[in-house]
Amino acid sequence: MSEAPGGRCFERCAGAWLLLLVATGRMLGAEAIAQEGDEAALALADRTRAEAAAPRTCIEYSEVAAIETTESDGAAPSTGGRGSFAIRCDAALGPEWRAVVSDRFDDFFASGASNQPVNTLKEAYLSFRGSTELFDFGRINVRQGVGYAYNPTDYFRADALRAVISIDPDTLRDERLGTLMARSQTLWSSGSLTAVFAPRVSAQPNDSPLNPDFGATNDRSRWLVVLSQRVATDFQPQLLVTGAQHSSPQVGLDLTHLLNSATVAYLEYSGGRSPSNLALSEYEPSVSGPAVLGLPVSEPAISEPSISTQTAFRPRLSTGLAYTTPYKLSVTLEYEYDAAAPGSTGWRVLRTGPIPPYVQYRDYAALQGELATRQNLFVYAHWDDVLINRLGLTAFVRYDPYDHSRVTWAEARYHWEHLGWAIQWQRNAGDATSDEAPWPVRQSWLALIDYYF
Amino acid sequence: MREAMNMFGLIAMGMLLAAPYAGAASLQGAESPQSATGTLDAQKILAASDAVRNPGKPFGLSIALVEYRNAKEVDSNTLAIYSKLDGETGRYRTLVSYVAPPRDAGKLVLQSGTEMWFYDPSSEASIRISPQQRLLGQASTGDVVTVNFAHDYRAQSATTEDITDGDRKLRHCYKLAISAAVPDATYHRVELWVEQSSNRPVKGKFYSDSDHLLKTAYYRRFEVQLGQERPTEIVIIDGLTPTWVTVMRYSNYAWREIDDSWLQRDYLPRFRPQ
Repeated sequence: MSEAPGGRCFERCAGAWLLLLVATGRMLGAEAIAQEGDEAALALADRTRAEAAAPRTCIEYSEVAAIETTESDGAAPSTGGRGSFAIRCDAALGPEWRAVVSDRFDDFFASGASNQPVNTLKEAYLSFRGSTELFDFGRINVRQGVGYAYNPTDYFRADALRAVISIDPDTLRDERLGTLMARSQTLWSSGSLTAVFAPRVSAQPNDSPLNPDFGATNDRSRWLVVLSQRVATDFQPQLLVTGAQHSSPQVGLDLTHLLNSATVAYLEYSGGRSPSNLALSEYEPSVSGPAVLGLPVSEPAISEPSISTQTAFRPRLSTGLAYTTPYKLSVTLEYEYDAAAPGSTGWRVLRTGPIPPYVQYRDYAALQGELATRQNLFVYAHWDDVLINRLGLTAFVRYDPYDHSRVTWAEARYHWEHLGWAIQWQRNAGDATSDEAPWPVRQSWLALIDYYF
Repeated sequence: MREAMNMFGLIAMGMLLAAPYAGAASLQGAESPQSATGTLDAQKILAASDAVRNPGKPFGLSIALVEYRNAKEVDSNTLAIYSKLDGETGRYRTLVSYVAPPRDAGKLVLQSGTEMWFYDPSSEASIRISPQQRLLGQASTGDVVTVNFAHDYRAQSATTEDITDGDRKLRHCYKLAISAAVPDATYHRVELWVEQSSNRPVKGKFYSDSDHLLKTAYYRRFEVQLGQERPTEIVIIDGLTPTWVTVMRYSNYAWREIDDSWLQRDYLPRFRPQ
């Protein structure tokens, strides 16, 4: 039964040839398919009428939103909504001059209540550009900081929100008032120096719908100097110094660093002598008294240094990592710290005490863009092109480690060239005087349609 | 910010396509691709190919992008690109301005080496982004022509091959086998076909670390722009889904005065299209 060597060779050679033929055939087949695909793509390109659009001076868009809010007391959901129109124009007035105007108008409505219109004049300024010097005058939205949800070096953020249309940090950054100021900037190849002076205009905010509300943004004179200098490849820190009437100067630092091709680390720091946020909210320490809204009666008064009006050095910082996966998912983790805000004990005393100072403090912290408590954790995720092109999902959770409250917010957004829609959901978890779930909102839904003209 | 995340890829496309144009200008028409021994010098061919596409001075251009899925147009955008070679690093510093659609108009991305910033005029906010983040969106396909091939990659071999180009003409080409030379190069390896007589780039195939084909690009519609014949259209075909096609058309070439001081984060709020 033994086979001749030549026979085995024939079998082996035949097998090898067969394999080679199959492999070659498959390669040729794959190549043919690839060439066919390439030809189809090139034919598509032949038919393409791709012409570059011309830049526009003005961009306008409109939004309509419906909102359903569930309150924490178990009452029936309330409904409302808004209609909005926004415009931003950036016009050249010559080779060296330009004018910028940005405005937003919202008309809020709710069942059983009259409409509430609010106009937000975000920016209106003139700009002059020399070779390396630039000068601006008017209402300008100067935004500093590298943090995502808390920006202690964003020194012009206080009282800048006229209408809160979302708790999303992106939206809060977009829809705010600028400050009336004069600004100069000198640039060189590895850095820049910026100086800002914002004069006092009025000490009284004005809630009239069409008022520019300079009393909110220019209630005192302020100044800011920002030095930015590249000190190493890919490393250009920003040093900030600011001051205001009746306040001590504050020093800030903004740092970013690329850890690897997918991860950015950032640190934003501000420090200087200042009263506590509680003192600035004009809270008078009176920690005894009855609780309301069914909350437990407050504990005895506790001596808490942060409740004093004493001025001290108080640092603030925001630091985190932003990581992007190869699958279009970006995740940001942020730790936030504000030494001017009450710590664990101070917060417990405040929120279990009388309601009026608590509310007053909450309003103050929100308007100033400060943390309500000394520490917060923030996680943010955004995922592009989920299942289909142009569908984006965004979600964030903000967590208070002292009272363990949290707010969760999520959005699905899709858009065509001009038209888009979004659905937003917000859920607050915690008791009625907690940091992240204060009364009255427990849950809300929002449906939105926007149109860019 | 979020709505513009998708555009990072498009912007990357713009930057990465535009950047090589500024890159190997010094090599333009200078050296023969043959070494002293008569053998092909692949790196010189690569540099000469860069030079074909590279205006020698700072420049600007517009890119109109149209994206197709299964032969159906699903997206279109217009970008304005401003690019300048950094003499110190040999890499490109590029400013990309979004022109259309309206919801993204005015947004900017600055790339200076591995440092990238995204700027949104509605919030005046500048946010640092990672190279990976830049590749979000369909137009990750776009960075087929990465920043300065001759700087970021090493051409390891060159053979000759006749292929059909994007205009369906037979071209006598060098086929270059290229591998990444810097850690942050976008692709692990590239196959690039360069026409022998003109050093024109004809076709490129781009591969991942795991050696999967990510995309194929055809360079076509060569026209005289800024003093030399250059490709004015690139057709990109996804490696995994060949029916995913992006057409990028270049126009409005112009020399631009781009001061070094503009190419930093602090200038972004001041930038205005020229």
